[in-house]
Amino acid sequence: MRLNVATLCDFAQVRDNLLTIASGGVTRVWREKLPSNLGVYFACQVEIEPDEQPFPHELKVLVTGPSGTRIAEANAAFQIARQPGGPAHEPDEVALFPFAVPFFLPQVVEYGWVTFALTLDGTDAGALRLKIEQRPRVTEAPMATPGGFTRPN
Amino acid sequence: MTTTFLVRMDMGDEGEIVWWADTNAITGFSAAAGSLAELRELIDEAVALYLAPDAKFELDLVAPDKGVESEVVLAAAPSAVADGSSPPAHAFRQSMVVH
Repeated sequence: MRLNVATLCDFAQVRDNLLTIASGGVTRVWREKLPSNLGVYFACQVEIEPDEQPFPHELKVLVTGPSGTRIAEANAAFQIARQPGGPAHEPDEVALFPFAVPFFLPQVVEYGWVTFALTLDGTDAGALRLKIEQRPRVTEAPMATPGGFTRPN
Repeated sequence: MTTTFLVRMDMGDEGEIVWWADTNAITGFSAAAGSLAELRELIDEAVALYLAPDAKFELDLVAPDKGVESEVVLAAAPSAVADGSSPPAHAFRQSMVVH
């Protein structure tokens, strides 16, 4: 089993075994004050080799805060099962398991790096990191032209 | 003959993950473990002890009892498969989030 996609994003969903990721690669969130919602989606896709497809598998995402405290945890169980009409995949074809989970509601209480650690069947499969930063107070909003350029003084 | 073990992931009383396995092939057999890997070891031991070391068996993931969002992703008819998707996967998916 191998992870071939993993990202933090604004939104993700799985439909008909297809994974949609909107605005992936989130590494910073800005929070003026804490506690606040984490406010991201976790999306990943796992490749399952043919000899692993008949068995159940376990996926876990553990979210921990800067001081190591547990913020949230998501678990999934999946199996590429037999089908009545014959195998769904070619004998030498890997199956894909897409997974998307919202981590919008979990509360963060401290600024710093939040870690999303992924394990597949109990084995470490890597981690994503996201930094909770305090947005600097803006006293005067910068003016912008419709074209997006900052207006010269 | 192939023995089937029904496997499910549940949430325990304290919010922990518990994996269960049951089968009718071994009288009174019901096993629980904290991970799927540990459950596989218990099943392997039970097969060797109560059936035969070379007995064939399969594991079928089934719906949980409680506390878990579950979704059965059924194989779609070929005509209903969207362009760009892999061949119709028949995965059973369970997930839960603990806050």
